[in-house]
Amino acid sequence: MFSLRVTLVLIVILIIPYAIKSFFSIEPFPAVILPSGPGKSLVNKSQFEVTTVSYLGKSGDGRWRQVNAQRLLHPLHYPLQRYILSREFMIGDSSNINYINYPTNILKSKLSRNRNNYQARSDLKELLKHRLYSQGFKSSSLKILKYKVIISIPGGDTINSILINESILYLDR
Amino acid sequence: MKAYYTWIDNLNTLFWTRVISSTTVDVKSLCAFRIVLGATLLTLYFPSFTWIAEVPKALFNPPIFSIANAFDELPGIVFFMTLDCMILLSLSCLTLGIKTRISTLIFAVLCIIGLSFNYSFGKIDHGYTLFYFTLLCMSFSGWGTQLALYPDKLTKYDSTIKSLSLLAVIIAFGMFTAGFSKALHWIDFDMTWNGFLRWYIDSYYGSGKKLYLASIVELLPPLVLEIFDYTAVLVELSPIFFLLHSGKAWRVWLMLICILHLAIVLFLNISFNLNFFAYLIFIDFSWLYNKLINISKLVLNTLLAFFSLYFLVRLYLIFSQQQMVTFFPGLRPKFDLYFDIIIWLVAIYLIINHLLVSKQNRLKEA
Repeated sequence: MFSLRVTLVLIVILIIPYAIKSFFSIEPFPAVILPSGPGKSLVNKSQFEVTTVSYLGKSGDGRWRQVNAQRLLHPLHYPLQRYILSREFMIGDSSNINYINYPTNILKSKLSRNRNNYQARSDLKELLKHRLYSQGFKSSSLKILKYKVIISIPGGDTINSILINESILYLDR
Repeated sequence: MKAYYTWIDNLNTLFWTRVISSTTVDVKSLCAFRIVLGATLLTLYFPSFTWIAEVPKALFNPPIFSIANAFDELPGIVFFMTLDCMILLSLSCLTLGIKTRISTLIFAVLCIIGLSFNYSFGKIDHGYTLFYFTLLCMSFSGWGTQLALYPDKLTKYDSTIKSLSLLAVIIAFGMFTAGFSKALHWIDFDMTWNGFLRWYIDSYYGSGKKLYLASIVELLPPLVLEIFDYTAVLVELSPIFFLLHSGKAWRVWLMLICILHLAIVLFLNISFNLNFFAYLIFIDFSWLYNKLINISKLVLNTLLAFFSLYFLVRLYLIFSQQQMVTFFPGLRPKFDLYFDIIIWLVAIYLIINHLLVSKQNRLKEA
């Protein structure tokens, strides 16, 4: 049997991480928090929007061709790669976006430590360059295209694909 | 004030008395289950983290409240190889019953450390939460006192009933964290909006998860989809009531959650396979104990020889940095999902069997 004191400590241990996640959108680990996903969708929805990222490298003839993104970020598995790719490997311009207007992001920026130093970024660029060359590309430039893809429901056919952002990473600089 | 304190204290006593009476399992059953858990992890879900050392350091971006955040940079290969070796050693000791209390604790802590680094690239996956809390709770359950090569001696810190009741409360709270925000949004009595459908569209069209029954979801009428929403919320918010009601009710809830997990695999192709251990620990495995205790010395020695060989192969895989069977379903999604269906069907069968045997025993006693 647990005493009242132990019960109170248990309540605190269980509730504090959940409160941090609920009120500050910061996920502590480890914590007794299970996946929720409370979002909803229209039942008669006929379209679904998804943001996709496409990577292009320059081939020998000077044309941009599709890069195998999974091979670029091996050994990270696909669900993690999606996060990394959406942030342009954390070395592109979008990693510097300042969301200072949001209180939780002010808190996050104050508490987090900047580890993305010059050496680490250079190593990553070198690795990406090496992996680009190993896929047969002849240039160290990597073009990143972000699309908003509209998919039909049911069926899953692509109705439209709109380019929303285009940037080039120069891995030599 | 004193009367108020006494009232709260009595309430606390009543709460834990009810929880304990609902979760009681014989320690022999836990000892048998420990071997099942250890053998399954060693063969099918061995946690490996050596691959993290190959990830470029610039991608290391741990969450603020995480063990990994104490590190200035991603540790090197020696750190992760040592971690994997210690995981292999502690898991082997847990399975064989060598200093089980401390090896379970070490195994759980090492998994948490490894997962902290695994979750340092932008995404925390809480799918394994119940699993490592099961290990932490079972460290002091006395599950290493029998069916062990070097049995633990019971100390004042060991308590089967406390371990099980604590785990049950953790499961109930965990489910609350999953169900509460769903309840706020999904219980809307509006059939034009649906929560389950959002999960489905994300996984079917967003992640390309199209196995099993996924393709029939779009044929379901809105009323059925609405029932899915309310069922999920009810199952996730109700465990505490089942727990406080009776042992039978608690096992019925465990069966319901296993059915929900099976439905998630079939319709959404999403895996929560390690939760299996957290739920089945409350099922009576005394029948397995009776079988294992009567194993002949020859069979036992043969099994130990195989185990030693397997241990060496695992060690070789760690040092040669080869891809191993790991926690991460991303490496082998189809195999994991096929196996998940079997796992949840077995779990449902075992729980129903437990309920039927308990009923027969009650009738005999009457």
